[in-house]
Amino acid sequence: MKLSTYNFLTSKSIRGVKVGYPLKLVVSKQDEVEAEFNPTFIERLLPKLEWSTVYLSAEVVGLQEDIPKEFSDDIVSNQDVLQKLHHLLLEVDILEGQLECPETGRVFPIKDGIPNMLLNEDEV
Amino acid sequence: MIPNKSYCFLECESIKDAELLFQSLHGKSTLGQNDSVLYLSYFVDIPNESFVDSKSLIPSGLVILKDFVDGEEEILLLKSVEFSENEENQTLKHRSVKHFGYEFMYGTNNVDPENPLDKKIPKECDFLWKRLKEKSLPMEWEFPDQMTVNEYLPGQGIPPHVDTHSAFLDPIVSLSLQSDIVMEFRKGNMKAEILVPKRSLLLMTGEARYDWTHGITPRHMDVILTENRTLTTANRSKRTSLTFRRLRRGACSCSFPRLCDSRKEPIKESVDLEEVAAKLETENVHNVYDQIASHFSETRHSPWPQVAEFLNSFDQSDVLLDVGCGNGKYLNVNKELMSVSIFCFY
Repeated sequence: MKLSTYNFLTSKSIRGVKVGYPLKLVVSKQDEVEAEFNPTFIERLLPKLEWSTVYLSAEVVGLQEDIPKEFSDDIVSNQDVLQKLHHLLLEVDILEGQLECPETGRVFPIKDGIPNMLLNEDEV
Repeated sequence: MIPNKSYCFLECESIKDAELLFQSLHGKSTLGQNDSVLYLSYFVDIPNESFVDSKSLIPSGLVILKDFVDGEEEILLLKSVEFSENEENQTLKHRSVKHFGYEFMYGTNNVDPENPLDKKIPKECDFLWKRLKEKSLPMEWEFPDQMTVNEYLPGQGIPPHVDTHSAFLDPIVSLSLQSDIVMEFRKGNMKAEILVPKRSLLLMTGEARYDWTHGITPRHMDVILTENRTLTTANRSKRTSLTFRRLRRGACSCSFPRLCDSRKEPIKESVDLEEVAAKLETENVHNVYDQIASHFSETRHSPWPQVAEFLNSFDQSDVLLDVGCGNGKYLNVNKELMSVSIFCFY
């Protein structure tokens, strides 16, 4: 699971859960893959991401030094930060770990790089 | 013999005659429908099955008034409900339909009594009700307030159904124009094939209205019983049926609960249905895909051109959600997209 994907995930569909975001991410095994850097792609992706969750995920994988805590328009013109965002969002690969619903504590395991978001019939 | 297929038997005076027939017809004759060829085989005896039963059984409560309208009236009626080219009418899978008074909604199999149509049943139909009253048949209504016009071309039909009990009163009345047709009525394992002549008025009352389904098999010709009880075929031509009904506006209180929507307990039913549906899905979807997954995945690699075109129509960094992405064959079609994909695994 890439951290760009993580940015989109919620547990809102659990019955009774209002926001379900951001999910608490726990990493037990991660990897790095190489992806081609495309600054425009990152630039255009940014408005679709929740910045506080981008920062949160940077903290989880220990890259918080690379990312400004608050979003500002300067980021898009800063090649260096874009490069670091590219690395954080598209190259860090969470292989094992879990996601946890902030409201119910329901755990979604991550196995072989795939988060299992599937709920049982009686949970929805 | 394959069950549920129709067969024709020719009885010959001698084996020699049979051979002659076989040689000249087998695989050659295009007597069949749609110019398909006939296949023959020899039989020692004609199977002792009754072909006549379903053609002589008549559902209780079914009334057919032959020649209810004459040729001139037929023309006037057709004109009043004419299917014009530019007017909107629905073409269902097997026929064209048009509604008057209230729209019959095929999604719910019901009408909305609060939503009458501007288009009422044409005045040209009024004479039918006086004529019908003279027959003194058991009827809960004197004048209909809903009419559905169906146009069937040869080869078209309507699946077996019962008109929703709570939607309409007893009887359902149908006027057949332009062509004879064989209608099939079923109740349990009973089957009745009824020849409905053109210009006849058919009334489904009581048991025939509530406890039998009726339908028309889509085909080009019907097998019918002649007066001296032999069988023959009749080609269908274009048929228009005018079905007249009266809205019930309340629950049905018939004595035929089997097909009655008012008798069902909707809440219990829906819970049961969900369980049944989940079980069916597990058995027939999840388990099947589980077993075929690797082969299924190996054989699905090329993107469908129109899906690829759709994916390429987006801008860079647009977010794609592919629900049920399978092996992810569409993930890399447009590499400029941010893709989130979902699949189900156990």
